[in-house]
Amino acid sequence: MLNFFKKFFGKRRDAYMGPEHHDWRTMVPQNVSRLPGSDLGRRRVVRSRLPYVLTFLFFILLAVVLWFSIDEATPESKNAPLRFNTDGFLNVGYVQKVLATNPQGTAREVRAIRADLEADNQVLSAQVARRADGSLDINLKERVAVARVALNAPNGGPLVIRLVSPEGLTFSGQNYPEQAIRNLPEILEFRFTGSGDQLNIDGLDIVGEFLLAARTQYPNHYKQWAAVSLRDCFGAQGSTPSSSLHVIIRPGTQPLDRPALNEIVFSTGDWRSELLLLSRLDLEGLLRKPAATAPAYVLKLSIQNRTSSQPIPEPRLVPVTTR
Amino acid sequence: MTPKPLPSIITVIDIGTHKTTSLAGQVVNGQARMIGFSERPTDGVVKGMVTDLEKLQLCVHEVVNDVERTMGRAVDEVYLSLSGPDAEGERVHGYTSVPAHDGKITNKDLKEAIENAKCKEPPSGCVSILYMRQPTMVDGKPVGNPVGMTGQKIEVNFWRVTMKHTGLAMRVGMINSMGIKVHDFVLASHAAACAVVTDADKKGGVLVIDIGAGTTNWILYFKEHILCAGAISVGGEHITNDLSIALRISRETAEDLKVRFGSGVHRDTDANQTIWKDGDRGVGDQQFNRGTITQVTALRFQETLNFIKRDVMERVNAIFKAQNVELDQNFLPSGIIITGGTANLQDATEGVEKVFGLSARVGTPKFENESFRKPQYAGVVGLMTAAIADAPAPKRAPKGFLPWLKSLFRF
Repeated sequence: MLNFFKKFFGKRRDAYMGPEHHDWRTMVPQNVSRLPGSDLGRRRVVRSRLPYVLTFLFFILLAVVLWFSIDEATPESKNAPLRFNTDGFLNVGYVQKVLATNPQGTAREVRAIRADLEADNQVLSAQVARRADGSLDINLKERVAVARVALNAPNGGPLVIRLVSPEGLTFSGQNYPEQAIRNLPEILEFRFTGSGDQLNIDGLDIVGEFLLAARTQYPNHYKQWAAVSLRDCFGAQGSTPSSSLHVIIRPGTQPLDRPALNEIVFSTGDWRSELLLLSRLDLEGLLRKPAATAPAYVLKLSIQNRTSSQPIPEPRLVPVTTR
Repeated sequence: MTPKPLPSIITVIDIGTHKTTSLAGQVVNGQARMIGFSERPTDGVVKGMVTDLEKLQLCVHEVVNDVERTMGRAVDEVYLSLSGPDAEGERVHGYTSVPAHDGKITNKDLKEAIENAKCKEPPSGCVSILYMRQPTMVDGKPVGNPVGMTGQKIEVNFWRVTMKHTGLAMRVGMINSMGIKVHDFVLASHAAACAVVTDADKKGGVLVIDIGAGTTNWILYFKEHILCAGAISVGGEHITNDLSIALRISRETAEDLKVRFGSGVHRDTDANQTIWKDGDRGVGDQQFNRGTITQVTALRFQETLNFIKRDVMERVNAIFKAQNVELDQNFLPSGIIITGGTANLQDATEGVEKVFGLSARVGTPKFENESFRKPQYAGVVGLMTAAIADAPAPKRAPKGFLPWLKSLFRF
């Protein structure tokens, strides 16, 4: 329709519209292709734009060099302002305490400060940068606590509580709220060597990973867990058929009108599939069956056949026996 | 302190039948300083007509690439030469009556007359490319600048160059596909004249003949202005071809013999000379009679000049109509100037003088670089001269951080 009107009312190309109309610039509009199609054309374009690209890269490089030279090498005053940020529970007081351990304070090199901060197991990684005005920017990433361990103090004092990270490291858990610590499952019946951040618990790497998976993927189950016993966890020989993790269920989290589930036994070699199995099990239905006459049960999630290295996933409710 | 003017970069491309040349110059104080040059044999053009656009495009692209590499920066826009019979020329005439009571001519009157001249419709399917100024007349008398003079009628004349729309679109499209804009066209004969003709020559009247390989372009200046221009599809290649047929030799050998022994005039004494193709008189070397070579070259050369003479006379007579104009010393006191590769032919000027009966000389372009002071480069050097005359005034250097940075990195 529009073309129809254009045809009648628009300018006629065959009609002579004056000298400007027949100028070659009007008659042959130029359509300069910015990227010529041939190889030669592309080479020309690259060559002509290369100085711009190189200049841009030069300035980028200059900026990076300047940034790092200011960032890491410029010594500043001992009491330079501090900007602190963390994703956990540590506070600026902690950082100041770490900085105060060295006489140079904030004037130290950022790499040294970072190393000091990362020396604490609670700190997963530390980003330390110095701004052009000399102030320090500190960003901490803290380790997640998935469990706690209670240790006797070396000189017979009160119990020392340490938190367990998914990597199997223990840390002091500074500034952690008491309630948060209390809600964490406790590691029981473990064998350990060392103390403090050098504390080494047998099988803690397995249990750390196991608890992290439970916490992130099955939080409803994880909440009910009061403790994890490592009495049958053989640590480095985690794949041994009889190696297992005993999860003790928190008392008072279950209804009283049915037998209680006291413990769940996971094999250390196949706990992932067993966790998946647990999430699909109708535990309520099983425990409310008329055949369930014992007052309390232990849920064994796999048959630990000693002749085969591979546990067979077959959950069984076993009545609790007095040891 | 006023900022220094920025040097303008002008790039010109002369696409001939035999060779394509490009010249890039930096304009400093109205003079071009050469910063890039390239010359490659043309492919895809026969007798000034494009026969294979892809081949021609590749050839021109390589020339542009060479120039860019030489000068170290990209070519954005170029001036192109227009040669051959494709570019038609005609005289357009416009006039207006002076409306003032006292008969004083104003700028407005002149503009009106110019508009009137340019209003003439070009031939069907053609596009106006250039309007070259011819003498302005006030009441029938030629004047330089009519503004401020008194009279009743003001007349302006232009030599208009037109071209077929398809041919022009093909040329523009070819350059555009390389990422380059065509700034303007320059008539090849006018370009050659710009390189070799002085103002005194123009004032007296001069005919410039640019004899290329495939085409011959000519332009006639009369009383400081261009009177007419034209072109024929005959050039130096025809001489080579004739020689090749007459002596039954390859075109390469014929070209070599033409350059070394060809002449614009045949003399009886030439028949006494025997020449050798290679000169070592070894196996495969051939001997020829020089008289045969000069006879063939002179005949074709003079025939070409006769075609030119006829074309010039036709156009001159069309302009002067009733007046019986002859191409003689009175009409063209500055004689004839020949340029182009064929002007290198021995005794070419004598041949021209024989045909036209006028004094002739070979035009060598005025250029800073001595290697370009040859008649075959008159076209490209003149193209640059014409482009400088047409180019806008150089811009003042802008102040600020970014221009300073650009100048630092010579963008």
